[in-house]
This record gives sequence, C-alpha cells and structure tokens, in this order.
Amino acid sequence: MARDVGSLGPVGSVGAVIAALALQVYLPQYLGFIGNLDLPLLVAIYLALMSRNVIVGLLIGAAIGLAQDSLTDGSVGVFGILKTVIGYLAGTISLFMEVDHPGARSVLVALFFLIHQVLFWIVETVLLGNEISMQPVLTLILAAAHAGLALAVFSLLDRLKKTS
Amino acid sequence: MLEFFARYRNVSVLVAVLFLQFVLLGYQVKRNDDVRVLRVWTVAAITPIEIALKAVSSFVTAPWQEYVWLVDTREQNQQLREQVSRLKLENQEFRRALTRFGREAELVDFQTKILSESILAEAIGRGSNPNSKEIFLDKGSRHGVKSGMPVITPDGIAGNVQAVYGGASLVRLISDAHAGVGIVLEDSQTRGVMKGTGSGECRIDYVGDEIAVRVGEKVFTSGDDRIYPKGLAVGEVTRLEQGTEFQRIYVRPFAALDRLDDVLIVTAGIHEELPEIPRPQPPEYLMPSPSPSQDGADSGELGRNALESSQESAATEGQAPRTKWPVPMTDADRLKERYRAIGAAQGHRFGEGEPGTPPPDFNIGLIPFVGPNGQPASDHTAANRKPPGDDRPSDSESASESSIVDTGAGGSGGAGEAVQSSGEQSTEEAQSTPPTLAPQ
Repeated sequence: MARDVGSLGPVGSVGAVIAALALQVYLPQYLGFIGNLDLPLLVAIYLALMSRNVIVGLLIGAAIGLAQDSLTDGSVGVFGILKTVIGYLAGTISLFMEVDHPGARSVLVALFFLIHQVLFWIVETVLLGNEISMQPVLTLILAAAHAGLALAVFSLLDRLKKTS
Repeated sequence: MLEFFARYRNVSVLVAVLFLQFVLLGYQVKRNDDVRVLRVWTVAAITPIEIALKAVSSFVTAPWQEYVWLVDTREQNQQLREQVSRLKLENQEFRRALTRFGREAELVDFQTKILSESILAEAIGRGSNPNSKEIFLDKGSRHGVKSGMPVITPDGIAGNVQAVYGGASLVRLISDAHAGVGIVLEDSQTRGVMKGTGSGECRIDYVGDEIAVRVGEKVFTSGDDRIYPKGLAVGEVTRLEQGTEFQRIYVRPFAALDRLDDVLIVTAGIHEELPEIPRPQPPEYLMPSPSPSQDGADSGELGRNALESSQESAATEGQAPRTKWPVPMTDADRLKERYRAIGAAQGHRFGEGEPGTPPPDFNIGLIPFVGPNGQPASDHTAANRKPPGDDRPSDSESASESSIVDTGAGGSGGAGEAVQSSGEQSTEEAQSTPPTLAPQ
C-alpha cells in the first residue's frame, strides 16, 4: 500500500485531487458536457486502486467525496458516502486482481460509475426525499465515457507516479 | 470485541466512516416540515421497535388489567362521572361567556358605526313595578349618564333614562304604557308618535285613514321628540286597525325588550339619515299596441283587431287571454266613426261631391237617448269610462240599452248599428264593439 501511494507521493495525490476538483468546477463553464463527467471519481478510483489497501481506499474516497460536497450547494456527505463506498470497493478489488491493465481499469471504472450513480439515486430519493429521475441510457453512455476518459487520466497519473 | 473489529477491520472502518457521514448528512438536511432528517431517521428506526414492544406488552398485560385487576375501576368511574358533570357545567359557563362576548363585540361594532356618542351599559335588573316596562342599568351619574338619555341596541331603540343614581340608572322601555317616541314611517314618511301599550308591542295613533300604511313597513325615529336621534330603527308594522278618522298602527319593536342585556346609552345624540329603501310601485297595465297593417282611419276596428290579435297570440303562447279592455278611442275617433256611418247610410262619399251639393243629413240615425227618469242623458261617455274588468252596466248604459230596445236597433252599438239595422253583427260582436254612435 505504502509503496504504491508513496510512489505518487502525498503531494502528487493531493495535487491530483485538487486538479480534478478544480477542473470539475472550471471546465463546465466552457465545455458543458464536462459537467456530466465526474473527474474526482476517476481520481478516487485510481488512488484507491493504487493504494492496494481497503481502509486507505475508503478514506481516500471519503476525503475526495467530502471535498466535492463542499464545492456544491447541496448537503455535505452525499458524495462522501458514495465515494467512500467506491473507495472501499476499489481498495478491496485491488487486493484480488491486477489493476494495471487498461482494459481492467476501464471495466472497473464503468462498473464503479454505475454503482456510484445507483447509490446516488438511492441516497437522494430514499434518504433525502428528493425526487430525481434515473436515466438508464444516459447513465450507460456516461459510464462508457468515464471508462474511456479513465484510460487517459490513469495513464497521465501513471506517468506522474513514475516521474515522482 | 477487539478481536471482532480486528477481524473485520475493513468493514468496521467502512461502517464507521459511513456512519459519520450519514450523521453529518442527516444533521444538515431538513424535511419540508422543518424536521432534521437525522431525527426522522432515528424515529423511523426506533418507532417500529417501540411498537413491537408495546404490542407484546399489551398482549401479555391486557387480559390481566382489563379482566382481572379491576379493583379501582368503580372508584375511577365515579370520579370520572363527577368530572364529566363538572366539565359540563364549565362548558355551559364558557358558552354563555362566549355568547356574551359576541354580543358585546356586536354592540361595540354598532357603537363605532353610529354618529352619536354612547357608553356601553349592562342591564342588571328589572323595575319593581310589574305593570311597567323598566330596567336598571349598571351605569349612573358617575359614568356621565343623565336623565332623558336614550338607550339603544344594534337592533333598535330600547327606551330612555328616567332616573339616574350614582352607579345605576332606571330606563323606561318604549313598550311601557307611558313611553312615547317620535317616529316616521318608512314608505309614506308620515310622522307620528308611537306609544307603548304595556305589552310587547307599541301603537301609533293619529295617522289618517287616507295614509297608505302596509304591514311590514319599518318605523324609524323622527327626532321630533328631542330624545332619540333621528334615523334609528324602531320596529315594523305588524297590524292595522281602521278607525272612523284615524287608523291604529301596531308596531313590534326591533329590540328584544324582554331580554335586554347589553345596551348603549346615547350621551350625545346626532341625527342620522334614514336608510334609502326602494319603495314598492303599483302594478302597471300596458295596453296592446295597434297593428300597423290596419288603416289608421278605422280606429274602432283597429283597436278591436289589435285586442283580438293580442288575445290570440297570448292563447298561442299558452298564456291566459287578457281581459277584454275597452278599445281606446278618442272623441275625434267617435265623431269620425259617426260621420262615416251617416255617410254610408245615405250613400254619401265625403270629399267627392261638387261644391254646392247638399251634405248628408247628419241628424238621421240619432237614437233618442232617454234616461231612466225620462230625461235625455247628457253624457253617455261615462259608460266608456268604467274601470277595466267592470262588467256591470252603468246607468247610462242601462238607459242606452232600454232606448235601443225601444228603437228595435239591437245591441249597444248606438246609431251606427241602428242605421245598419240589418242585424249583420251578432250580439257578441256588438258587445265587443264600442258604443261609437251613442248620442252626444
């Protein structure tokens, strides 16, 4: 665990998270479709997978989720819960399978995105009582988009890790 | 325990982190009813357990408590009965108080509406004389009450102050036999004096028989008595008695004089305008309009046809046919009809003879119009001036009929029918024909 995360380094990890959050906030002003993407989710998945540790993974997810919540006007804790679960799952899976392969990463990212969206719907509707509609087709398209984008993001982060 | 957490460390940490975030989330978010979601979740989690525990305990203890352990039941039942009785009494008191507050509010509202200055008073007793209509009020000279001040209610006037004491005053009601009020009748604006009768109603005397007063007509104060301000409601006419010269008008006061409670004592009276109420109009009869297709010269036929056509149209429309009114004719119409009949009898055509040709004899066909006393009647037109619907023959008509019998002309038509003594017109038709050729 310490080996992989340490390779990226705390500064690199924090920098990646901050960059993802900043781009998530900044880019949609000029590129509207970016608003449908969840860049912090990709970073959380990457860091959790690379950590090879369940607890570290869920804590990374919780931290990124709470940070993302703090940048929204919604309740703090929604994305924290979601990304905690995603970090936990990513950390768990990283213990049992090789996650350096691009195909495996893409599939995992797509899967995690779907889980993320389902959990989001459950939290919003069941726990908070907000009526939101589930759009399956759009969700699947976005899952594929995240899978494709993850290849580029993960590759970039891999290079940062090697550089560091 | 520690071994459990050590064994399931990952899951434990996950649950702990999620729990903390759930708490954080639930503390922030409020439902629409302004209750925090955290509280909703907690209640939702605890309530089913409480319900289950309660159901179990009830299942166990209910048979014992409801069927076996009834030691205190009788005593509790007695206490509850007493409590119910006490609460009923309290409820009645509260209802009375509520009604009283409602009346006082109504009185205060009325007090603000009238122009006169007044003070609120409460009836605290009745006069000792059983034959008089008097009440005691709880306001006296200390409150500014003076003798003669009128006492009113939102419904109508009640009486005036007769005697003033320190903290009370005696009021003579308008129904007292010695009370008098200057009034004005609503419709006829007739002024008069209303006196009490000692009973529940009052009476207005000295209103002439010729004054039309209707039952239900409202009566207001006129201000003439220098006691009651003008324009206050007094009562309404309940019945009338015609006398030889004056009629007696009985009035029921609007104010509930036999159960007065809260009243207003008018300390500075100001006259008010009488309310404007639309007055009833007598029914009007509209004569049938003449048919434009008829010749204007034949006004007799014209009117007759118009009347018949209006009756036919009324029958067609399912309405009852109108009463046969006299055909409207002027004196010029009658004269024209007379001349035409005279000309037709002599074969004379008006306006076609050469100058110098003799005119027709206008004296033929005159029926000797003899009255019952053998003297010629001077004015037969009274027969035509009968009120509508009056089928009784007038004196002149009777005389005319008798003269017709004498001459053998038949019908009441007069000279025209007498000249055309061919009997073409039936009796019924002759009755509907106006007596246009009666002697002038």
